[in-house]
Amino acid sequence: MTARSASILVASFLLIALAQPARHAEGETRIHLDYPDALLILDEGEETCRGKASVSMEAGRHTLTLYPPARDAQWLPPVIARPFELADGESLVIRPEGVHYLYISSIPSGAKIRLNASVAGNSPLALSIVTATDSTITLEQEGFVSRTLSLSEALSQGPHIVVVMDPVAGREVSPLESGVRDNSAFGLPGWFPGATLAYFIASTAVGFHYKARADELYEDYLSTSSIDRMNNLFERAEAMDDRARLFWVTGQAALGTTIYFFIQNYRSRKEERPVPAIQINLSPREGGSIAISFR
Amino acid sequence: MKKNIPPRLILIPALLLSIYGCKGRERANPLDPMNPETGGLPENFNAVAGNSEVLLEWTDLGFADLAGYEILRVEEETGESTIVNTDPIPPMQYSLTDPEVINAHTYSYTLFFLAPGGLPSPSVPDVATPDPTTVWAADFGSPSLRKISPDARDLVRRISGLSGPLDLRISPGGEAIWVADYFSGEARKYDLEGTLMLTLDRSAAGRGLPVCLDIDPRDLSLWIGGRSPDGVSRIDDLGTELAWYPSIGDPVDIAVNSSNGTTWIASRDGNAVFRKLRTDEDFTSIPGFSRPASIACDPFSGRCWIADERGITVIEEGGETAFRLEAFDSPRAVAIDLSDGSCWIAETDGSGTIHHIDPMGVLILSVGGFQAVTDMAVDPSTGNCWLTNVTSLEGEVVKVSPEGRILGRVGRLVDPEAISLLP
Repeated sequence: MTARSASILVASFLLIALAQPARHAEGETRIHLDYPDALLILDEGEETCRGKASVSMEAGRHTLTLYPPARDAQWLPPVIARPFELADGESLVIRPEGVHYLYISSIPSGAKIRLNASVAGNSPLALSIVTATDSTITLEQEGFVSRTLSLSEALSQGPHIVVVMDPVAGREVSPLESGVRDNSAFGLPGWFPGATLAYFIASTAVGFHYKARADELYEDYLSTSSIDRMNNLFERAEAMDDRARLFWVTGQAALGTTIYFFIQNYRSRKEERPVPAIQINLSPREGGSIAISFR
Repeated sequence: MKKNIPPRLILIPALLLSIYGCKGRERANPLDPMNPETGGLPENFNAVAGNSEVLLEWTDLGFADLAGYEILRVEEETGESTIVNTDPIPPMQYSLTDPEVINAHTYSYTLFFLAPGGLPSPSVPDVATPDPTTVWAADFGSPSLRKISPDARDLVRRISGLSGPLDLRISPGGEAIWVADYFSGEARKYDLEGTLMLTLDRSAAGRGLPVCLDIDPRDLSLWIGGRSPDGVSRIDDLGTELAWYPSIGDPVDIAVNSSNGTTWIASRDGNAVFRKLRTDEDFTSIPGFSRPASIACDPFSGRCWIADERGITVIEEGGETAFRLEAFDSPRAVAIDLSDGSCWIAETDGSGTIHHIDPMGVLILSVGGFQAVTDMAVDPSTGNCWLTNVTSLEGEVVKVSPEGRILGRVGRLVDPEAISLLP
């Protein structure tokens, strides 16, 4: 299984399927909810029905807001209220099929997201979509070329899609806008960590050289009986010690800087991963119940 | 939430590690004037007094460029200074004997390190006072015999291989040193160079564990007192037992009158003193003592000085009490100055005082500053009193002038129990 097919599988699990509304001419206009623990609100009123229920209503245009089961409400946005129209004698059946959840982010973020023609919000944005597969999602941002995706195209990329916006011709993109995080966050070039590491190695070696030289001079100091010479040797040994100390201290500082940059780089790479920290996958079991798994 | 690691968390330990890895140097050259321990004056030089000579010794300090040594002698009384060596002493030589000295004169010696093309660097001076006196001490704690320099400033020689020397005597002619080695049950005879000449095992060495001994200078026979079984035996110079006296319980000290051969023995458990005139067949008990500890005989007056728990008792050779001194607290040791018949007395452990008494029992002077004097001997040629003292830290030998001045002091012993000297 490739990574892409795996992501599609995950995406399909993430979809909380809501049954497509179906019209049935059975004499009475009704709405049938067949979605355990879900909350349905009609026409922005109070709670209309929950779980498995059937509500009679007047024919005509209505708006519908569906809240997923309470245990999912912490991360799933409610179904966007959508107007629909029922003729007299028609009924609408809502099942956990046909609702699509998407988490759309963009580079740069803040792009305006339209669902068909309606503005749904700015990226990043979580969407619960009850619509047909021919719906379109459009991202717009000033200075960037707008991107339009079909719902089926978006769903094929997974529940979390990242849209990279291309700048319009002739516009320079700042690193922050490009979303590319590198070591230049400190205003330093990318080769800087490598240079500090090399400096650490070199300065440590030079420091050891001076330390060995200082040891030799100190041994000479210990074994001389001439007071003039012993003063000279001791001072030179201390001078060599100072040099060794200087190289070691700066080398250690370079090592610390290198480690620091590596840690920061690792963290930034982690932050760029386009998956949430906890991914909750919902998949319908036989019998219509919702299974939750953590990945 | 993004959380940056503060760089100091990495840099500070790295800095400390660097500083630790490059510690400061010490001015450890012993000739370095800035050396905090020596101040540029190493203490590797020692002047050991002998008889009309001084042995000069020093240790190698490892100087690679040393040109040699030079030794300066200064006579303290006159201030006259002389270079001891006629030619420069080579770097690999570590001792020299100075024969150009006069006994009883004190000299200060300084070793100079000759650096190539530089000023010579001196050592810490050392002082020596040559003297003909030979002094040996028995160190029960080490256990060994230690020869002491005649100015009581140095330990000169060591004889080891003993088990627990409790007493020793140098024969009057300097032919031998006799030692009572308690735990081995042996009496041993060494020459003055430390060579073992004779060993008397338990069957002859007092027949018990030897505790005390003395030499009859007229025939060099040896008196040995021992325990288990208690008794005293007399042995000739070749180790043959001449007599055995089993009736003396727990003999702790023996004194032989060098002029007439009268033998005195302090019997601690018997609370008595035993006396045997040379013409007597056996010892005569003189009762009336309480655990006598030490005994000394004045060969000129014939009197015997006895230290017991009650004080000092002086007995005429005939056995009559001449006088008694009860002002002293359980004296531990007595020693007669043969030059004038005076006596040195050491009070018991803890008093820390010795007293000099004239032959009539009048106190001449007292000297404090000791802790537990275990034995004394007097040099009749100078009147100096030598004593062994055990402090809480170490054992020592101290030389005290007749005026009570400390002339010399040498430590590094463990538990010296006896001292003997040859003037």
